[in-house]
Amino acid sequence: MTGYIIDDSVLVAGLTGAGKEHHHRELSRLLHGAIDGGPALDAPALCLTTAAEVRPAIVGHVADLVAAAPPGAIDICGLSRTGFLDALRAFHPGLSWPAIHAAVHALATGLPVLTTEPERYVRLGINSLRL
Amino acid sequence: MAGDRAHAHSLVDALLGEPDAAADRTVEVLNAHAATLAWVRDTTGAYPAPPNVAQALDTVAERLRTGDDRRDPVPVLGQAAVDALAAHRMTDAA
Repeated sequence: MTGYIIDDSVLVAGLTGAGKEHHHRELSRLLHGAIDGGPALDAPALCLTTAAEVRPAIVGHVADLVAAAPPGAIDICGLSRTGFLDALRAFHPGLSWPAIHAAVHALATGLPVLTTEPERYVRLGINSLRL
Repeated sequence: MAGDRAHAHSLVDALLGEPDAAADRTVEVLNAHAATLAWVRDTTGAYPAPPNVAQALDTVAERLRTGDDRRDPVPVLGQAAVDALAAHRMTDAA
């Protein structure tokens, strides 16, 4: 299984004016690929919420994409209490909630986190890739 | 379903614009990198990839992304993973 967990930094860079043009184009290619059966994209709900603080319309845009794409191609995932969540909170108390949510989902699925800020995830025991 | 897919593509284009050749290359390398990490995960039965293996893949992927290396990223990253994993196992065994 391949795919990506897209964190709030990618959502902000790709879907708001705060990002660079290449971020928009790269996220566009990733979304087109997911729709066509390529690697799936999972957006943790807390990452989406944080990105929506920059541009509220992001929530509607991502929901439109989830609804139009084939099932499982683009998902919004929820947060549940698990051992991963407890461990990350205990050992990384300064970590932001969006980063925790992305990391918990990475640990649960074995997928890499796609981010513009890979330094966030150093020493968390996950794989991250830079957009 | 085909109509849904076309609608989804049009939503992406309206929201983000169409990708270009540079984005195509970046995502080609990203997808190969992700697939290679998945191979390491499935081969070792562990997540994440060992740090030295992940670091080796990051280095190779960066050269592929910047254009310093224009080869097909799938075999290049695949071979890098095989080599890095072999080195990792030799280090572990020593």
